[in-house]
Amino acid sequence: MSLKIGGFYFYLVTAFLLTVAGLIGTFFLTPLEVKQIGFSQKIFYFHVPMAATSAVAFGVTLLGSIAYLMKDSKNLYRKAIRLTKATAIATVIAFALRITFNVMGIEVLGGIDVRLILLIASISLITLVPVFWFFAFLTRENMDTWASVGAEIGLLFGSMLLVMGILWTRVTWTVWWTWDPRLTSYLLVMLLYSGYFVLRSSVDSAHQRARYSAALGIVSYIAVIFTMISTRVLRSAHPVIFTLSDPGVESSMLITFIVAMFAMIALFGAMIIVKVTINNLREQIEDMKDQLGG
Amino acid sequence: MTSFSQIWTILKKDLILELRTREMLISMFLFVMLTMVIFNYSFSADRNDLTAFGGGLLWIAFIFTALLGLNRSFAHEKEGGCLDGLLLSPIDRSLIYTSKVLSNFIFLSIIQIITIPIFTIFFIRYNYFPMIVLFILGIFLGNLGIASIGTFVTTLAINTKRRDLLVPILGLPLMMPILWLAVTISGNIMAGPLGPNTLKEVVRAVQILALFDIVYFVASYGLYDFVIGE
Repeated sequence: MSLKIGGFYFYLVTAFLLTVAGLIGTFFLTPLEVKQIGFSQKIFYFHVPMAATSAVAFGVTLLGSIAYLMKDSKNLYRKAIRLTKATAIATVIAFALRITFNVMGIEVLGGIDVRLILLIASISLITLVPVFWFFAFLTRENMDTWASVGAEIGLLFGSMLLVMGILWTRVTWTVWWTWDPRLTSYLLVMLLYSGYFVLRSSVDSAHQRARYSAALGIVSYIAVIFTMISTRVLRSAHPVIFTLSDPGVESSMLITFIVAMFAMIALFGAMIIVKVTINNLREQIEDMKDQLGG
Repeated sequence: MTSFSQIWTILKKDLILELRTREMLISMFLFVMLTMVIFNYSFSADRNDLTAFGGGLLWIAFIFTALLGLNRSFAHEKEGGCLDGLLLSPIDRSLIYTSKVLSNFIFLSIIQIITIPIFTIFFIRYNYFPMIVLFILGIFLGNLGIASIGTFVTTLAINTKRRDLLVPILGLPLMMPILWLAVTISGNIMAGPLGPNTLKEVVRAVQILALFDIVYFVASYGLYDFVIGE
């Protein structure tokens, strides 16, 4: 039995090189923002990629949870039918509400198109879930491990994000913390995923633990989505850079941002590979101990 | 038996049990009353006029009462072995969920029907009666959301080692968006006459709250099979 860490070094080196490139871009190649907040705007190049990466990490928890439950489920077909029915009813209600509001002449959700969000969500679920499912089948990987590791790394990125954000808030808004919708909802996401680990530690049977935490991992992602759309839906002072029609930044800024984005994703890849390997090895040790009788 | 009669049977059982013991309703009611007394002492700077914070205080009282009631409603099932009976019966588990949501919703609503007038007499100096329809809609949607996600989380917690600890730890962050929107609605209506901008904000909060209720209910309904039972 050997320690297999496929792709770990590749991701690690990529992350290192891209981070260096991103930092050079941040401090030397991008113009100083002069209109509003000045030098503190530089946080954008790593703050936003970190936030996106934490959302991706929690997304791994979501997909791992779905894959686990799909594999675990005995009468998947019946449940799938019922879930489809429920979703169909919910969609009909949502559309009915929308039409009612339109007829009454009330603006829906600040001009944000709910249909677009639903469409993106359903397409990504439809394409990603089978991929994960087949992955789970082919590799016989325990998807519960992936889910918990995703939440762990998401929490790590989230803590860095909060510390960074607090420093930025002090400089720009002159206070350490404000109860802005974005800040508040992100703090809640962190608390929720910390609770996820409290739940995991309070169940003894491995199978039961995996099933419960998978259910929670799916529901928790609703809070993550709420954080993503909170600045656009509620009144918030948190800056919104990208909109659908307008990239919002100059090209050198955009390139630096994309480099930093890839750097963070590569770092995440390296972390998740090494962490999953460690957890798998730990499980193997437990199995061996059981076989030895004690 | 159709789905509706199955839901009704479980719901009727809960209601009859509550009518006979009145344990949950009385303890929830006392809890809300005691909370109000605490509010009076905590905010005694401006005597008896909490109009500006009305919505927030109202929902603080309700959310903790709801947690109390949720814990109680499943403790009953567990103690009497009723949960095992429910699981053995040939009823779809999502229907058990639906009826539990309904019963929790009904209990919370009963408490609110009694306590909101009392709260208004105690603390609110503005007559918000003209906006009562919007106000009730906000309360209704808030209750529905709390009952949906609360029932799910309580069921999740009931079979673990830290039963009483997990319900608030997992429940409160998940309920927080609902609480937030409900406070926006109730608070603005209670605090004074609504300007056009505030009205717009309240209407938007109602919409997002409805969206949250739907999402939470559908997600919990679909996942309930996995969290109930051993």
